[in-house]
Amino acid sequence: MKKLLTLISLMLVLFCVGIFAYQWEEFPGFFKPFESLAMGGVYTTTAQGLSALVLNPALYEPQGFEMFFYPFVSNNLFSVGSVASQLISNPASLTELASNTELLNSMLGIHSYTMLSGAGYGDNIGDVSVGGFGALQGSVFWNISLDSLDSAELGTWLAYYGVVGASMEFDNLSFGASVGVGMNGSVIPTTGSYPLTVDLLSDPEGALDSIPSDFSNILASVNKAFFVTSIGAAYDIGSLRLAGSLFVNTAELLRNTQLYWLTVGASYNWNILTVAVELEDVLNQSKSLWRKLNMGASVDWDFLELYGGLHAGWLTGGIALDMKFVKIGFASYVTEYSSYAGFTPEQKYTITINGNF
Amino acid sequence: MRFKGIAITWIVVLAALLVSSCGINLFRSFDLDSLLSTGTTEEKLSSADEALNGGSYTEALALAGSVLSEELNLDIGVEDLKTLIDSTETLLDLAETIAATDLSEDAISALEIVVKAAAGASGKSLDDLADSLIEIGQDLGLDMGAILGSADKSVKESSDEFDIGEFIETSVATMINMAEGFIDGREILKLLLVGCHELVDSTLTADSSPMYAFSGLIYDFSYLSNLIIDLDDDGTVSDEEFFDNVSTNPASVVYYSQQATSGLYEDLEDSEEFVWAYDLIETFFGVLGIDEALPEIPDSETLTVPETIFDLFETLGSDAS
Repeated sequence: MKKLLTLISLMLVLFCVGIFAYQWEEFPGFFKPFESLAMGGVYTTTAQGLSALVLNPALYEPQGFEMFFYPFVSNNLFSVGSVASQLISNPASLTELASNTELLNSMLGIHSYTMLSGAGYGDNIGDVSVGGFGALQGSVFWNISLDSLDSAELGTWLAYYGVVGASMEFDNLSFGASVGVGMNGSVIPTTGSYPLTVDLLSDPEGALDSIPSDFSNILASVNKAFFVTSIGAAYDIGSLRLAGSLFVNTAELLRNTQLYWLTVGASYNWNILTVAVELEDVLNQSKSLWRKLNMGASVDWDFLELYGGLHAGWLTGGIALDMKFVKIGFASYVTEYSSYAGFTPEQKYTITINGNF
Repeated sequence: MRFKGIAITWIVVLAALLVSSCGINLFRSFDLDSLLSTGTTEEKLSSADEALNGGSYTEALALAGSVLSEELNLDIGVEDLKTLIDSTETLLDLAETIAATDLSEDAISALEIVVKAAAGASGKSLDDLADSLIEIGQDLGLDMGAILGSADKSVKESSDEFDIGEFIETSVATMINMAEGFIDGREILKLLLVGCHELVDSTLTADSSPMYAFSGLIYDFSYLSNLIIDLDDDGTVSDEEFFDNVSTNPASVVYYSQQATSGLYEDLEDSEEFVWAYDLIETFFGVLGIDEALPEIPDSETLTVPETIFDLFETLGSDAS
């Protein structure tokens, strides 16, 4: 019994929570669709649909009413999912699960689960393409190692926002801009910098102070307004496209500062094949050149699309079935949290559904 | 023909998705080389910390090892740093220099990363023992509740008499059954042991010292077990007959110990190492609040006399009463 209690206490403190400057790739107001993630993260020359309003408004082309649902899951999905289903069916099994070493193993390391859902509408007004969408976005993050119990981390944030934008084309040159406003907030921690860092060895109970006691009212934490804007341009020379875009968030929640995210790139389209290369987040001086480099390729057979790429050196891939009104896609990709290529990865997956009418 | 084309397409797609899930990075070595060649101490430490966080142990070890190399004037080359975990001679040099030097603040920061990265890279981190960590701690007589910050302070009742023979005997069986290959690699175990001991010494007032003491104790018993079992001094114990027998039938550890030759038998160098490592236990016990007076063990020359592992236990226990 004592053994079980010790293990339960270990599990509890582990779930409660380095001073390590994460290079966040998923944050409120900014997202990449699965096509981009599967293509090594490139977007500034290839963005499509409503996501283009955020990634590069110059490429926005209205497709009527659109809706999207993107769950981004970590590579321990099956263990976590199994536990969640067990807990839902039998809440009393918590103590049993606490001694599940397979679960403990799967929880170690960096893991995050992000969800994005939204809908919007766009149309052409004269020569101008106009569109907008509303979205709900949220994420859970943790970083745990038994070797670093003095710096375990946990974070959860939520955001909802709306974005409107427009694009225009002058011969081979396209321009676009968008603006958005929303509310976001850190659910864990409720105060202080994100994510919550806890020294489990000295003050495990202190961690609990930063975790809301009543999760039924978590929307109360979503109380910080933020504004986003994005401007972009693209220039086509035959099949070659050169493009750049700047995304700005006036009060980026995770970094607790203004964010300027400039990306430049080029792509080449040859029949069904598109290849793209870009430098992402160019203004960030902490990131190395290799860390900023994304490369990708896609093959489009109308009903079937294949993707592959390199994101900060990590191989990515994906596939999509395009069934006229509904597009279902799967991407396997890596989120890189480090300033350098390949140092702090998290393998992730997404199965996404897009609909347009 | 059409079917063949579709089949090939799907095979290519599935292969690409599989490869993309394998965690292969094609740019990492460029950044690592650049940092090792031209990075400042601050850049190396911060990037090593990032690599450690991401489980990129080889990179973390190379970067933090580079800082240690500079601080300790070891002059380890870039290529050697990148393969540090496999270089037994360099690991031993590193361990012995660390033990003999007063470390600067940067060196201590680097050592923290080196210990965790070396443990991760060699499969000897606490994460690797997650399956059996609590059990191992209790078998070693550790108060896991105290170490992990819980209120459970009485996992193992202390006894008036401390039987070192029984203690080591239990430990050896525990160590052998801990995790595959955990007590292999004598040099890496020594580096981890020395590193944890130095970190406990340097962070005596910090909250992290129990964590290093706990790790240090596990590495200490692993090192002691390695010295006892490893007959041919190749650093590997999993190729020894005794290890094989006890793995197969842990309950008969006493019988097998009566048949197996002790690694310290007629080996003064290993015996001296044993005595040195044994002495470190006291530091770890002190930090962990284990209220046991460690009994004296015979000197290193005496430990070379017992022929079998069982006889060695008897000798170890003889002065303990």
